[in-house]
Amino acid sequence: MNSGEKIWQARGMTRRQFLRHYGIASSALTLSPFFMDRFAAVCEAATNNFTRVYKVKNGDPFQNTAKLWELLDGPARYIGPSDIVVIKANSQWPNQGYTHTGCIKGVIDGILAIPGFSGEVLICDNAQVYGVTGATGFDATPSNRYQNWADYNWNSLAAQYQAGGKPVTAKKWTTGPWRTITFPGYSGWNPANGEGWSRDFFSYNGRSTFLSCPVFQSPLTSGRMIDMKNGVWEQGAYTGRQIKTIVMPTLNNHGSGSEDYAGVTSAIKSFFGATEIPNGVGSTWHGYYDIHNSSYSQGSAQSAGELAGRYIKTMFTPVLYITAAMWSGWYSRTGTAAATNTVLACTNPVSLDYIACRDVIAPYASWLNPDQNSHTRQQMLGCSGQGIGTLDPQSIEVVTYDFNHPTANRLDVERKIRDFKAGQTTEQDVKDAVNLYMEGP
Amino acid sequence: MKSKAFIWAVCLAGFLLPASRVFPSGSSSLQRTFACSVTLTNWPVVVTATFTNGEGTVLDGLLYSDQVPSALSVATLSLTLNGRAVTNYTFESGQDGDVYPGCTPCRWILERPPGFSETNPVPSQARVQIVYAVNALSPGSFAFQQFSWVAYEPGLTNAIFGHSEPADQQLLRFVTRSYRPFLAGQYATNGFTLQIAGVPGYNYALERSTNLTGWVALATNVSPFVFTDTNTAGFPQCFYRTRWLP
Repeated sequence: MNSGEKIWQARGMTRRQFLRHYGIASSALTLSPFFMDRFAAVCEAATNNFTRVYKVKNGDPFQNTAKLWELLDGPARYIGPSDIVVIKANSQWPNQGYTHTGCIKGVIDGILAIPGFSGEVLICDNAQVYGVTGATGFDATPSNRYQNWADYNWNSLAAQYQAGGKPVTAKKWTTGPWRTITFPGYSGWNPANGEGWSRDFFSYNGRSTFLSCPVFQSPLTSGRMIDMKNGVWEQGAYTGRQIKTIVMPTLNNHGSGSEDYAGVTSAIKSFFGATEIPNGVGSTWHGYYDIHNSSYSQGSAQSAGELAGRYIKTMFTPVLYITAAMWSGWYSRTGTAAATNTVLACTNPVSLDYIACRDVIAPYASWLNPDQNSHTRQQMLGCSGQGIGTLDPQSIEVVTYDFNHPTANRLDVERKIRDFKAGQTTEQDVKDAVNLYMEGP
Repeated sequence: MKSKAFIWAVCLAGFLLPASRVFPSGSSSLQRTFACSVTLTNWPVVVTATFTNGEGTVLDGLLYSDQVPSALSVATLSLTLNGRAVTNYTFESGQDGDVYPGCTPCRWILERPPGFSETNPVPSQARVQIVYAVNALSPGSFAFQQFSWVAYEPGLTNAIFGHSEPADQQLLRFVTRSYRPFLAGQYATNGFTLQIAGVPGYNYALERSTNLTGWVALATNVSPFVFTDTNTAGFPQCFYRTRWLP
């Protein structure tokens, strides 16, 4: 075995194949001093390091998201009962162009069901300072809810929750105010000054560039400031209360019927709505390039991914990404879409976008195939190059549930047994899960 | 340090650590035993899981899952069905915290559903034995708490399962070599293997007793060394100690 060569590579196997078959390979070993000496050289860590992407399909938005939470082992694994939860969704475009309201509701219902939940849930975006009144996720009129949930937009959904006494609201972030800085440098925003943005100024590919991160007033609690980078601020100090962000993007083609400069618009690109883009996507602000003008507007999808990766590392790191692909606008963000009836989740945006593109939207739009060299792939490579996630399919494990062909996997069975031991489910529920696992779809 | 010439350690022999009683949904059972509870780092502990099909029918798809502390590594030593070696099973591991915090599911799958193409059904009253080693490269205490198993009666389309109980919990300690003599042991195929580690390069004696009163010299060697006691047959229990020889 060459120095640096992995043990599975030496055996001509992928890491996954090695782990699956290792038990067979190792069964020839016996308990002897010889074995003891060699053990450390051949033994694998018990845990595997695959990135896991969860995919649920062919249910309605509420079934899909409820099942997704189940596969994720419940929202309490990611959200604490007193956390402030920010759902950063995509709001800019009508119809399937904004994050499916039903999927947002499904995610929120799971959070509100966390025992003792006393936090807040805030649906947020800045729409890249664009969006037409009555045609965004916040305020879409019924005629702009095509290929989305017809009953509600985000504002009316939040109002419905509040009418029932639930701590849910929607908040559109707005740009500014400007504050002079010393370049390069970081300019934190003091919540005592009201709403604003913390900004990171740096040189990127020879351009003076900035990323920014919102500090805003909670619409639910007077005097409570939500500093996305530093936490909850109240009465002159940070409280230590945590902010947990769930990014909930759409899955659409950015162009019209072909690949444009961006490719797919989904989890990675969603960060464009969490920073300021004043004066339009091709302009500068006080001489500084925003995320769009320092990447896509320069013809570089990879730069878009790199800057999104920098954002995640320097501003805030979401606990989860959930792609709402009930409809996938394979032609465009607002035009022809396919009823893909899918939701997906992952803890990083790169692997999530990779699987969502490969499995969900590329079958309708070949130019969005992430295995081809394209702007879609460049975007993912840029972000993964920052140490965020992977788009290596050998390192990704996809856990799928299909309502048309229900089944259970081994992990489902183990968790059912765990819940049974804890008195949270019945023996028959466990047997049902085992039977589903044994009998297959 | 050397004046503590008579520091000794005792390791029980003649008994494995207590086997478990588990919850079963049917008449089958599974026991998990550990060869010892204290060992040196990078010196694996052998774990044996023994499943007995107590149903009146054949079982398909036997899956045994141990929730292994994630800092440990795992390697299968053998898997037998009624004494016959099974080689076409599947071993897989999950991720840290998949089921319990700090633990990783490690699974041995005799047959994968729904096809069960490996053709390893477990006949009624048959016994499956899975022997594996767990190891730590760094010192620490690691709690083995949870395991479970599931199987399927194809003729009755009936699932059965079982799981560990609180009494099945086992704490494993992995310790580094130190200047205090260290003694640990576990069963081997030809007797009981002991590891002795004291001050490197110094002589240590290994002794055995059946009653903690009379001691028989077994070996003297330079630390560290390994010795296999092949003469344990006939003793219901043995005690071992080691001491530095000035």
